[in-house]
Amino acid sequence: MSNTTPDTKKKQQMQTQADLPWSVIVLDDPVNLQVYVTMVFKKVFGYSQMKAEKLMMEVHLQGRSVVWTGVREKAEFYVQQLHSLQLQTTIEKTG
Amino acid sequence: MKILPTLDGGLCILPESEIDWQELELICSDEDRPTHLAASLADLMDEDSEWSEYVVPDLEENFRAQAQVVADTIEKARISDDSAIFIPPAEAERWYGAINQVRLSLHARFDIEELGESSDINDASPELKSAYYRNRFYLLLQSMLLEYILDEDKS
Repeated sequence: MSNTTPDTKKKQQMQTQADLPWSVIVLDDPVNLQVYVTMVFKKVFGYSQMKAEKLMMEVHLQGRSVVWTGVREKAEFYVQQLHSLQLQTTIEKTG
Repeated sequence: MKILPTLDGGLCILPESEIDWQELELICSDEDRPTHLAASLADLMDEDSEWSEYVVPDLEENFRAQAQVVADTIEKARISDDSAIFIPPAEAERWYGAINQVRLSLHARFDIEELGESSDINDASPELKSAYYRNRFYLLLQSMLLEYILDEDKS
């Protein structure tokens, strides 16, 4: 038997939603050069050349790539950096 | 027009005709471009992020500063005796960004990609043809900025 009230349940559900990880998603565009996108991933996230190139190719071939996952605040921080470098980027809740 | 790497690790652009100068000046000709780009990036975010309120003003300022550096450098070179435009390494990122803005704008306004795949560019309208060649020139300049300055693995 649970001693949780409906209100507490709702709060817990909302908290769980907020705690879900967020994905930073880079979208393909017709302008940004492959070398530039790879360079940006290395610079912003500190990824290796190999990882940055793999993600860049995902953007190029699949139209989008999840380049980072974590808490919303940090995801937004990364999106801001990627926007300032003119990459089409958004965030999505994972799961 | 000639584009050459310099000893200090930058690039030097040597315009050779009035058309060359015009192509360069068109990089920063549209004052509204930074606003449009910042707004279009904000459209990718949900309302909860309050992007338009907190982030867009900074983005806009950043994009405007990129265009301003390019405009000032070109204007200074126009009135100088040697007419050479120098892009020092410290300003390469801003030049790259300003050129990216104009390429994004050209792609938004003209169907450049489709024209690039078509074999008959001569059939295109004068406006489209001009956009196509301008985009190619800007692409070349960006590639040189990457190769000689920005991409540390290559330079």
